[in-house]
This record gives sequence, C-alpha cells and structure tokens, in this order.
Amino acid sequence: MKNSWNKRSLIGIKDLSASEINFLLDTAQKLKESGKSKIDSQFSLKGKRIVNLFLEPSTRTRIAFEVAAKSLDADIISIAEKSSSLTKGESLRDTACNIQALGADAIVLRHSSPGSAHFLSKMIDVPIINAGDGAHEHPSQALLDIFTLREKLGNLKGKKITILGDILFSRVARSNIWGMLKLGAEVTLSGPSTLVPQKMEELGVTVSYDLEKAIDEADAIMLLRIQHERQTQTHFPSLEEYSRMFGLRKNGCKPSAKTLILHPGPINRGVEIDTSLADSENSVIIDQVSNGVIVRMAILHLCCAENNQVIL
Amino acid sequence: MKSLYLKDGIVVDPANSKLDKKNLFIKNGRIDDVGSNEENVNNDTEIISLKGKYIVPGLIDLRCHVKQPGINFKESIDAVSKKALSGGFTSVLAMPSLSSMADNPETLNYVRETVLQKKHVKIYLSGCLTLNSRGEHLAPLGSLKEAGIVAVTDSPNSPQNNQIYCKAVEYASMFNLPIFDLPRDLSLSPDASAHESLMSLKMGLKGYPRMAEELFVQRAIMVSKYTKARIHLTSISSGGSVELIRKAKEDNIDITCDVTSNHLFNTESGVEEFDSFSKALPPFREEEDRQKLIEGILDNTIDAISSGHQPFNIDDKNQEYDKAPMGTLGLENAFLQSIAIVNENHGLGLIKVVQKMSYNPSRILGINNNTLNKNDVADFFIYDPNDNTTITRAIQGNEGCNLPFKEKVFNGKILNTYIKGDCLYKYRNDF
Repeated sequence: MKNSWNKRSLIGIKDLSASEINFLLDTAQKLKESGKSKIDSQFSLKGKRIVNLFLEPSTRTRIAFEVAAKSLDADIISIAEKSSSLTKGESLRDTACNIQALGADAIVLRHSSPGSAHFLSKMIDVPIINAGDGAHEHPSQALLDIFTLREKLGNLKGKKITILGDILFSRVARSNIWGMLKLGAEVTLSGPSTLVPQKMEELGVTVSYDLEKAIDEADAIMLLRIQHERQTQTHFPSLEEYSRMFGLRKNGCKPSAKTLILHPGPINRGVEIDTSLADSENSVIIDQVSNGVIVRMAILHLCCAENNQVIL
Repeated sequence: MKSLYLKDGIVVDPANSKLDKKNLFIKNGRIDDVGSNEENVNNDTEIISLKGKYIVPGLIDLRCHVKQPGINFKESIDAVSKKALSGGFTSVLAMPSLSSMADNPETLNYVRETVLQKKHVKIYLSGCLTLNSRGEHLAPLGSLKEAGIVAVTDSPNSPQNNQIYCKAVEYASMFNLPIFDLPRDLSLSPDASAHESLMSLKMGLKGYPRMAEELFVQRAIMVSKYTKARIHLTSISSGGSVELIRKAKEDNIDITCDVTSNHLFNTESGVEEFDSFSKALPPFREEEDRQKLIEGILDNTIDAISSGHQPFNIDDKNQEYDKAPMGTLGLENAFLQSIAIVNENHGLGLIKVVQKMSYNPSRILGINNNTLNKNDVADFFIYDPNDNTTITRAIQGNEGCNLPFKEKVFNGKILNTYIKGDCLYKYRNDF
C-alpha cells in the first residue's frame, strides 16, 4: 500500500482525508499485530526526544503517550503546567521555543485554548501533536475511538453512530464527528438542547433530543462525560435530571443488545450510564484505553520518524 | 502671516451633498475666502494647484482608543496621530480607557496639559459613564464636563446593570453630554472570543451571539424612548441591530449609531485559521451581517463610520486565540476602505463617506460642523482618487500592529492633511 501520510504535525481530524485516517489506523493495526513484546524495528523511534507538554490536567492521554513513546524506544519527558515556567508568566510561545532549543523532536500538547496546537505549529519547527486543545479537537482520542469501532464493526460506511452528552464543550465530539463523517458513518447527536446545538446539523449530522429515537438501531453509542463541575445550573438543572432524561439505564432507555458502548472516560457511573451497562459485553470502554496506546504509537511514528514509509 | 491658496480643487460639501469646483484661500487657520478671487495672494502665500483633486473636510473619529500617558509601548499619541493624519482624520474622540481611567477631572486635566498641547491630530476627550467603567457607580459627569469632555461612555464596556444604565443616561443628559454605548450583554457571552455561529462551534470557541448585542441595542432604544435622552450606539456589528435601529428611527427615537470600517469589510472567516489579528471588538460576524451593515450605511440608518482603532502590539496578539485581546487598528484604512465599500455599490460614494466620517460625527458630538465655508476652521485633506495606497501591518516599534490584514492595496490616496491650515501630514510636495 502506498504511503499516504505526509504530515509532520497532527492538529486535528478536520484536516485529514479519509485515506490519511485509514492509513494511520492501518499503521496502528500493524503495530497491534506485531504484539506487545516485539515491536517491528521499522517503527522504532530510538534516539528521538518527545516532550509531553500538558498544561491541563490529564491522566489517560498523558500516560498513553508516555507508554506509546517508550514502546517505540523514544525518550519522553512530561511537563505539567505547575512545574513549567508558564506559572511564572512565560508565554506558550516562549516555553515551546525553549523546549525546541533543548532538542525536542516532537511536542505533544494539551492546552485549554482552542487553536493552541495550530498556533504552536506556526511558531516552531518541531512536529506538534495535539493532545486536546480546549473544545476544538482531540485527534488521538477520535482516532482510537474509530480504531476501536473499526475493529468491532469493520468498515464504518453506513454505520449508525450516536454521540450522546455534552457536545458543545467537547473536543472529543468534534474530532469524532469529523472522522466518522469522513469515513461515511451516519452520525446522530443527542443530549440536552443547551449542550447539543441544533445548528450542528449543518455539519451533516442528525440532531435529536429524543433519546429513544437517537439510539434506535444505533451500531454504537459514544457517551461523553458530563462536565457537571461547570455546567450544572446554566446548561442543565442537575445530574439527577440529566440522568433521568439522557442516562443509559438498564431498566429504561437502553441500547439494543448489539449496540456497542464507548466512553472516552472518566465515567460518571450512574449518571451517563448504569454500572451494569458500562461493564457489559457490549461495552468497549476498556478496549478504547488499550487501543489508545497503539494508536498513539502510530501517531508518534508517522509524525516523528525520518523514514515513515511503513510497509503495510 | 503665511497663507495658503488652493487652486482648481473640488471641495466636498457633505452638508449640501455636492461637489464644488472652487478655490480656497486660507489664513490664520481658517477659510478666509472662497471662490476664484486671487487678490488675496501675496508673496507669503503658498499656492497649491490641485488640478481636479478633492479637498475633503477633515474626518472625525468617534471611537479611538488612545493609551498614553503611561502605556507607551501600546501606542504613543505621536503614533496614533501619525496614523490618524495619514488616514485623513483631523479629530478623534479618545475613549476613556486612557492609561488611567478618565473618571475624574484630575486625570483629564493631566492628559490635557501633558499630551494634548502638541501639534498633532485634535483629540477630543470622553469620560467614563461609571467609575472605572465598571458599571457600578456613576462617574462625576458634571466635573468631567468642566474638565473638558465632550461625550461619556464606558466603551468598550457597557453597564451590565439596567438601573445604573438608566440613571447614568438620565444624569448625563442633564449636562447635554452625548452617551456612547458599545452594546454588549456580557452575561450572554462569558469568555467569548468569536462571533457565535457554525464556525465558532466548529472551532470550539465560545461565541458572542448576535442576541448579546441586540438585547442591549433594544435596551438603549427603550431607555432613550422613556428618558428622551440621546444615545449613540457605537460599533454595531449585527444585522439585527441595524433593523432595530431602523425601526427606532422610524418611531422618532433619538438614537444614532456607527459601525467601524473594518466591520463593513470583514467577516468571521479569520476564525477558521485562529487568526488573532482578525479578532475584533465586537467580533466580525457573517456575510449577511456585513450586507445589512452596508445597507444601513446606504439608507442612512447608520449615521457614522468610525475606525474603532484599538492598538495592541505583537506580543499581545501573538498568543493563543482565546487569550489574545479583541481589537483592531483602523485609522489608516478607515476612509479608503469605506470608499471601496460605498463605491462598490453606489456612484457618489465620496460624499456619502464624508457625511459618515466628518459631518455626522460632528453633529453627534455637538462640535462645529466643518464644511469648508468661509470662516470655518481649515481642517481638511487632499484626496486623489486616481492613485492608490498600500497599507501594511507594522510589526515593530512602539505602535499597534493589529491591522486585520497583512497588506492591502486601496484605490485612492490621501495626499496632505491640514489642521488649522497647517500641513501636519505630507505625502508629497508636488501635485
């Protein structure tokens, strides 16, 4: 297969073509097949320095990138906001320039400002991998979600996928919408109208505030975490009400027996979903986490390796 | 005493909506004589032959943010003045957010004594409507008027509390001070950094909805209706605001408004690239808004075009999009940009633009109309429609860098700008 990857940075799924997405996922598939113990030497990033610049709290994503880098024999350094000079008033641009000068070969950036990864990629020369920029994009999450879906459902073309919850403030939702649409899936968004703007239909998705209809015949449901710490009162009244209206219940509104359940974590058990459903056979939440490492290995390889002509 | 004789120019007369081919004789800073009378010319007279170029009454800017004294690195008054004069402005209304807020007579006196003595663009001062423009406590408007302000405003803020707003308007109208209001309901746009639209949704940016502006436009209309006070809405950006104001004017409510030239020219498209230079206050909106703003100019719903000049330096703008400040420069480009917009749609654009940028602003501020008649102050500039002008973003030095574009070529050229008969900006000597 021809190499169809010529990007050095990964800023968002919106900028990728379907063939680029598939190429990246095929690369991840190859890595997965090569097994945990013995990584094919063509993927090695030995001698590369990768900096995890995480300026917003994160456990899963940061650790997944660390594990991914180490699995490829790269050196990885993680910097958190509290230990960075940004707390001393240094600008993001200056911090990144310094990190570049210290010899970084790639920066993995998590930041609360939409567009921060794009901004940084214009300012410095090293590849930037967006690990979440405000409510804009979270491409590695969407790629691992789509990777997981592809594993279970095969080709996404014509598959019905429902994204449920806080769409408005979610970068995960945005990246997934771009990716799923590019691969031909039929995407439905559902949740409270204050968190799921009707206007999003203009992107080519369906918006439905009727949960039963929204999940009817869905091949997969992607739940998003309700960020109750900042939205209760203004965007919905209470977690109880949310749970009653939009929670997946064992005894109530629940997906069909065939429907896959995804969640990027962390889960509010009993709010977005009943524990028994989250832990059911249809739940691929844990697969998402382990696939997260594989997909991030593929991302690091494609963005950092001098020779990323993977033989697939 | 040196005098000036301008020969064979075309004088733009915004009061009577006409163009007059006539000569002007200028002495002691005023128009001394109008017509073809050459008797006044003597050895001390500088004679300029204009050969069909236009003599345009000096422009008056209704929204200009001036930072000196104190914050020199933003943009000094010298730099503001240079930009203003090169853009045909002879007067600007400084917003009260000087380095310290103009909410007390002492600050105003200090500014007048230290800064306004120099030979540069005329700076009219406005005062805060509420202390520190916080919207909580009325500013001493009477004392501020004694200290020389010509308008009151909390721009770029607007009092969020309706009671304070109503009382401030009533109180200001007692002193016959025009109230400038930049309508923004902040409760509907917390932390917003872009126009609320499909675009802001796509980019994950918090949006500033049209409704946040239109609610406050409606508030101003209501308050003006009930208090009979005149309110000037500055820098409207939403198409809906134009419609509300059009209706209010039909109902004889005493409302006027302006739009910045940048809002007549730009849409939200820069958001797609997270371009912080196109982050304006209020934000650029969609093409339908832009079209309605232009309609508002053409049917005179919108009274004036301002520059909205708000300088920031490169470090301010070189930040993450949501952290970079909102605001654009506009003094250099406002006139030529407006000409381009109005000409695009109509033939006699020049007169219209001069009405919007000189004649109407003087009436809104209640200062002397400048129509280049005998005994008027000689504030004007020479305009050549047959040349063109390249305006480029400067990214170095102690001046604002935040033009919304990197470089643009405009039709037309501002040649010389005169204040009280003195040439303070000279593009070139030969005509």
